[in-house]
Amino acid sequence: MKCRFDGFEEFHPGWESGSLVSFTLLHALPERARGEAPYALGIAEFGGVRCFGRVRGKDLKVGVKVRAVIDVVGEVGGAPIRGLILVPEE
Amino acid sequence: MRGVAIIGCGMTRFGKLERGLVDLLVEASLAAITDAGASERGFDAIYVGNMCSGELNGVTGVASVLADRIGLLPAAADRIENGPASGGSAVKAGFMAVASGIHDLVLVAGGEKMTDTPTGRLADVISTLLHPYEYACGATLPSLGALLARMYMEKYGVRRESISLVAVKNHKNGSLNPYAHFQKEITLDDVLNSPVVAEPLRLYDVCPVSDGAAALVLCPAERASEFTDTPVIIKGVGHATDVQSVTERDDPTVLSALRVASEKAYEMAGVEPGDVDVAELHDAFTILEVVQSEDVGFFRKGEGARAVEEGETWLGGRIPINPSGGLKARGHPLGATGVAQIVELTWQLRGEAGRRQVEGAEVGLSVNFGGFGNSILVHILERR
Repeated sequence: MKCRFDGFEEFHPGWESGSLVSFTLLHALPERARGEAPYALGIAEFGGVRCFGRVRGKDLKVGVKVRAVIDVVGEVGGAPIRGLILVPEE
Repeated sequence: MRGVAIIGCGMTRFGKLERGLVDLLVEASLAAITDAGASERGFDAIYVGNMCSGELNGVTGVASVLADRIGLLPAAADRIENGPASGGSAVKAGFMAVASGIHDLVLVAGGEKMTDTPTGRLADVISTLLHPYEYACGATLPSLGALLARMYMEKYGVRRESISLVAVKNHKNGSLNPYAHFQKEITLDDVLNSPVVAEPLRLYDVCPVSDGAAALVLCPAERASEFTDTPVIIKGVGHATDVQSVTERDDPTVLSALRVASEKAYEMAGVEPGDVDVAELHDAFTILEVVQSEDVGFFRKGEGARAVEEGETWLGGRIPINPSGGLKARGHPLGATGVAQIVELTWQLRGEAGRRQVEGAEVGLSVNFGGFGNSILVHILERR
């Protein structure tokens, strides 16, 4: 995979075993999230690949193990957008 | 390439203002033109930095409207949009026009009218500059600032109190600036007890929503003496771009675009970080001033917060940062900021900054930060 080329390769980072790199609980919500309660966003690393997503769960800490599931993360123009939900291990 | 001089500058007060965007641009532009003694001169071009006039104010083509309103016809007029770095990009465009010899007398203005728009709507409009996936997930600029702050604190073992001292310092500076949105000092407790915006960032870690405009008049350095005895020379300009998604950067705690832009600007100006006497950095969030102060070369990585704690970046310190109050206290009308930073540096280098004057300042540097650090401009100014 190189920049300025249109080729891609598949990469399977192993969505079951990631580590939370950073997170925030967003209280000042944008208009497009109207009606939602404050929500958490985070960055996690899966096998050397960093990913962004919504975070589920409480008592978050940097370094906790997370898995990623695909689900609706938001809406743009009325259309649901699917992305990563980062879920800490119990 | 010709040398380029700033021969006039002006700005409105920043804050929640009654006037509309074009009126603000008019006020700042006339102040700069008067300051330059150029009221009777013909201008070749106008560059206006503005991010959201169409989305927020229902007005587009503001540069040509400004040219008409202040009687600078038939000067060429362009609006420059580069997110929160629109003002810096407008200054760069004006610099290039004069340096190349295409234009001789140029007005650069920047402005934004934001306070008429509800904050949730503003957050939506501004976050359209983020990566589309981050936007879809509900990210905003403060949320990315919060993610950066937590990563930075973890990596370098920095306490959040140290980062929030930036707000205390910049509000103190703002209290000395009659153009600042906030002219009131605050305490560290005020910051730590203010409402949460995006953990760990609180309200006083985040710049306010402001209206305002700022303007400069540029001409070839060799002709500056026709206008003023105190020209300020734009000695260096650097501009670089980084990966749009913060998540995908090699090290998200490093602003690579700033490192590249500042290296280019230092090389063009023939100066080093240690030669800079005063700086205006883009502290939209307190963490950004800390990180920028490192990646622009003032402090080693991880040492920026310590420098604030030890007073190095306060007025009277080794390298005063944001004597204007910065975005935190002077305010952040998006398209105005990059121009206002250079207005402040011009006043500092001319020795006209009043109670916030950095004594003996000869070299000034500004950082204007677009996107979430994916487009960064550095300007270096020097007193002739």
